Amino acid sequence: MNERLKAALALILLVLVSAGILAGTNTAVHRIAVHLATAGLQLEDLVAPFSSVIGGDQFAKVREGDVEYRKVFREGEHVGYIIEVSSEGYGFDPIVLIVGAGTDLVVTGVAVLSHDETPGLGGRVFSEENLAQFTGQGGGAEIRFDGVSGATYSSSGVLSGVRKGIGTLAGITGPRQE
Amino acid sequence: MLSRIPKGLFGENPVFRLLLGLCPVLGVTTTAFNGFALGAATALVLLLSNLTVSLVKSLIPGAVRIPAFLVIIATYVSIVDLVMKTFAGALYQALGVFVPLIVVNCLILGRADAFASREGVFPSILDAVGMGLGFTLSITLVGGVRQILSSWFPIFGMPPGAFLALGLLFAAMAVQDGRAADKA
Amino acid sequence: MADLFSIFLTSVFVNNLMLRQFLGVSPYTLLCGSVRSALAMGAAMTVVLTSSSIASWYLHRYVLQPFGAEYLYILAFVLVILLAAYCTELLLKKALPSVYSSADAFLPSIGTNCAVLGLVILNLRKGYGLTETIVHSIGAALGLTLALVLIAGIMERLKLNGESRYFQGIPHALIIASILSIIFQLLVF
Repeated sequence: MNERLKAALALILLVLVSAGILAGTNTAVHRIAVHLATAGLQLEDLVAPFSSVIGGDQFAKVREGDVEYRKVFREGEHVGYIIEVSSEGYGFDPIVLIVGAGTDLVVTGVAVLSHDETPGLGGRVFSEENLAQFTGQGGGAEIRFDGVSGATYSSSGVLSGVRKGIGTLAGITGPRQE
Repeated sequence: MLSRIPKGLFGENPVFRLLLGLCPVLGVTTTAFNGFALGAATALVLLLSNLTVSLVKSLIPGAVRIPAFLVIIATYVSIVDLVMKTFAGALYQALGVFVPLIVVNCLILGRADAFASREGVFPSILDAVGMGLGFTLSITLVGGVRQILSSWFPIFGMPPGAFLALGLLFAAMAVQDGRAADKA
Repeated sequence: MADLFSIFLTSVFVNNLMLRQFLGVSPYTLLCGSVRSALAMGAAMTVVLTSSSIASWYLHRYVLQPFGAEYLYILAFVLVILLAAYCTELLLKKALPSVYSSADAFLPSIGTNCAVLGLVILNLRKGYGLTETIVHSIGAALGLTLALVLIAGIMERLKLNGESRYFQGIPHALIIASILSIIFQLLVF
């Protein structure tokens, strides 16, 4: 076999071996990093209604100061957060929402846990269709919501709740690390 | 054989005698710690590279030795790069582009070519230890000098000061050599 | 357009590859002996630098990123640069043999030069598009050539006027570099 060709092939083989080693190292490093990030957290499986606002298979409750939220994991990787917020609506009792967001603080979903709004009218604000408006918003940009006319309080209650949720998460997670 | 270690530290000091790896010595020595960190990373890669090269030297065809050595070194540097980026983010940012640049540090390729590819495993390890210690000590020294001087003369913390500090150190060494030669 | 222009100018002067970012500093480059060698060195580096930057950009964008293999960037870039240096050497030998002979000593070292790999990685870290990469690379290469020529020129003058015993060689070159560094830092346009 041509000497040069042999040499070239040997080099290519070496490169492939190196690439393989690096691929393995890359995966290992990431696994370890995730492991360290989730160390000490109680992992529980994601249940409804959480699964309706964010895709994931496990969540872990975290408490920082007086704020409680949940970190969401999918296949071992930290994919986002769930936070519960209450805000004022029309009725006596507050509107309790859960807001799901990715690690970039973009809303993945919003669901209402309880409310005291006018049945029918207020209830329309909380339809899946309407709440879907929030999905994809956030991540630093101002969150908007086209409420239901005639249900101003309920609508603005939901909006302020979502904003408050994202704002709290932003305050906790701080500037994104690169 | 054991003389490799003092040789690497003094007589054949990579920075001040062999003039190898000057880029990082200028680039990350704003503080002694940064210098030390990069020096240690470089020394680690040097050790792993010398070890590997001396183990596989018979498998590498002569025509592609330099590229092959570089691939081996690049692999280790990539691992160090990945680990540092993930677990020591702040330090990684501070050291800038000089972490990946360890791969082109003439010291590592130079030792692989001049020593590890010709000698056995144990001598190669000792060579790496000696050179690694010499490099780390030197770069930490420069870092320390710049850090201390910059508290009186801020310029030493800035790029022109790096050149100045290193130039003065080399000149001081020439004075020292001159004195030693005069005595002899 | 103004953006590209400012990238170009900063890469030549304020962010000069050698005088600010310390890339390309080595006994070879500091003590190249004559302005002629410095020019030859600079020219060769410009060719290798520009071609490597472009090739690396494509490699990163269309191979590394799509396959999620960014961690291979060091390996990939080193190989690209080696190839570029090798091709440049061949080209030079065939096309401009006179330049080749005066550049012969350091050509191998271009493949393993801090400056070339450093610049390619900087392009990556700054997330430049193709045009910005090209402009940045050419600017950086020109800046490097400028620095090399200036240092070589001043060193030649110094040799003529006699050198001090302790400062000759590297110390002189470094102190010249330090002064040039201050000047270049001030050339903010």
